[in-house]
Amino acid sequence: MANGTGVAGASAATASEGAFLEVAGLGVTFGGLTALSGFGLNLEQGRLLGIIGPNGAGKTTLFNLLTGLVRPTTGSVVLEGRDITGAKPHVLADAGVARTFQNIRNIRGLSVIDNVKVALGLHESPSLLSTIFFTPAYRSGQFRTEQKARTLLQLLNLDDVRNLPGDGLPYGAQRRLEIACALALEPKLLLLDEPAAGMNPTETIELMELIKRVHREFGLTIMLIEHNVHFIMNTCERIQVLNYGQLIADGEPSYIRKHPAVIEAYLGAGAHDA
Amino acid sequence: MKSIITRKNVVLLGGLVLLVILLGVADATLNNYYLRILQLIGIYIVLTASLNLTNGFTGDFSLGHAAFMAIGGYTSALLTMPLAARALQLAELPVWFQEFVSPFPLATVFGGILAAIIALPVGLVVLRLRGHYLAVATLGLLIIVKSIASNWEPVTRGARGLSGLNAETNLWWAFGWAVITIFVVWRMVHSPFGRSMIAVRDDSVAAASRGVHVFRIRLVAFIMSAFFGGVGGALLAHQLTAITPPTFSFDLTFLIVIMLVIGGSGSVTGSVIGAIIMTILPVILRDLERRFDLPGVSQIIIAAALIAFMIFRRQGLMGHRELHPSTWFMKKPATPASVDAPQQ
Repeated sequence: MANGTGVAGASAATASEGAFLEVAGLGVTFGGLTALSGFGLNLEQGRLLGIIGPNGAGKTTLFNLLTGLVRPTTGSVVLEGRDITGAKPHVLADAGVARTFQNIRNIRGLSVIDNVKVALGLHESPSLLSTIFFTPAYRSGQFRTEQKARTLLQLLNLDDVRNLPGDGLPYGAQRRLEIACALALEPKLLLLDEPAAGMNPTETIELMELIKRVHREFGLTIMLIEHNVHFIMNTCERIQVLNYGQLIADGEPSYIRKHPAVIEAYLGAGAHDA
Repeated sequence: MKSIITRKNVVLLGGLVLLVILLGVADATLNNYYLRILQLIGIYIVLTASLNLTNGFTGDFSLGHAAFMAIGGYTSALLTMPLAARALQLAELPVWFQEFVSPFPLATVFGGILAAIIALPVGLVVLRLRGHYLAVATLGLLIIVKSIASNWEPVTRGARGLSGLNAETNLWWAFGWAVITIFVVWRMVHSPFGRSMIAVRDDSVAAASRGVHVFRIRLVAFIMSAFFGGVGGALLAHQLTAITPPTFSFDLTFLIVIMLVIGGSGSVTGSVIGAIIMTILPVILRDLERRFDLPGVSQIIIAAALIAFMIFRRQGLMGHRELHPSTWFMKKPATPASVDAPQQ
């Protein structure tokens, strides 16, 4: 896996056939500011990839590019052989890319279970006419949606609070609700943006277990942004490090831990010589 | 699958029967003045409940409802106008049209459909905007529609307007359409569609990331809202029996928005309550104004009340809650306000 200080450029386009996710030369500039440039990634299905880097390194920008919230200026994203570069968020959700947000974004005006049902609507959206006339097909569809939502909420330990408003939960539970909504999309690729942010140590450990479990049980490919280095070293099989919008290292946790450029990015130049 | 005979449905059916009886009694006993006020309540319920789809539930603040009313009003007026009036007013139109008179219900639906059809291209353009920008753009739509109505002489007769319509709008049509509107809006809001609308309103980025086709949801809400706006315009035209471009004024558009805000945007029952209050209150105040010989005071009182209302109860009477008949006879439902989340 470890391909050294992989500053993968356009050459990554010639990646192995049938790779799950192929990102090549991905970059975006806002005005004069380059938020991300030349990002490359070849990810096999079922992997758990960690992404770390100092503040402003471009981690969330990368997720925004992969989920269509920001359109890339350069590069390409190919998921299972399908070019999804610059597609709209709902198209990407349909293509199997789901995410959570760094600053929790559950829907205030909807209950916990309705938050999940919004995401479930991707696969069960009745026509306006069948909705208005309350047809049997509509009702059985809604029955299925209810069952699926309850199953997901049970999995994430949220079933007891399902009728509370989406933003009326404790912090840890709101994180779990975001993950429940992401899973409701039945994604192939799940992007988690700092899921442990603001959590206490106990909650963090629970979350770590949850992510591993979801990864295992759903056979998902997961990309995980995290500042908690302990968390990421223990959860991920492979780690990419970003700094100033550039990929500076890519490899296994043990490799990343000793990588000079990573140490320099986190501790400053010369730190690894000491 | 639940049976259709639920407590909720029995209560709703009972309410409907009660409404029919009340309307029957009103129809038989009240004089024309009060009947017209009641009809107006029905018409304003249609308009407010439908505006709620965009302004309340999807979060697209539209000020263009009077534009869709104008489209519905003129369309239906052209379709129902009696032959004698037609020969006088629409002499420039083709002969086949001068001989074609549509029944009122059909004309009402046509008015709604044409408003909805026009809402499609309009929505494709203005829904690129959000917030204040959208509000101003929809106001622009009203200006365009009024200016067409003022200048398209052969069809709209310009400033003279269309007159001599039969007074077809009665209590039954006004409240029949009110019930249909409430039903459709309620079904839409309490469905996957409505959940998506609320998601778009509260956080469109999160909604999009959860697979909601944000633009399509907003467009459909806009078109459905326009349909009932057109229907409301048709009802109003056939209550007034004559329409001119100033009938569909800024005042009218703002009045409907005020009804919605007072009742509580984001609540179907709230929009009904708002429509009732803001129809009756000015009538009562005007009555008092005349009695005490204080012309103009009613306007000032309403304006002051609105300001006070916005300071002390910005979310409107109902906020996002619903007044649901089926819950009156049951235990109080847990209000979402109590958020002592049982953390596990």
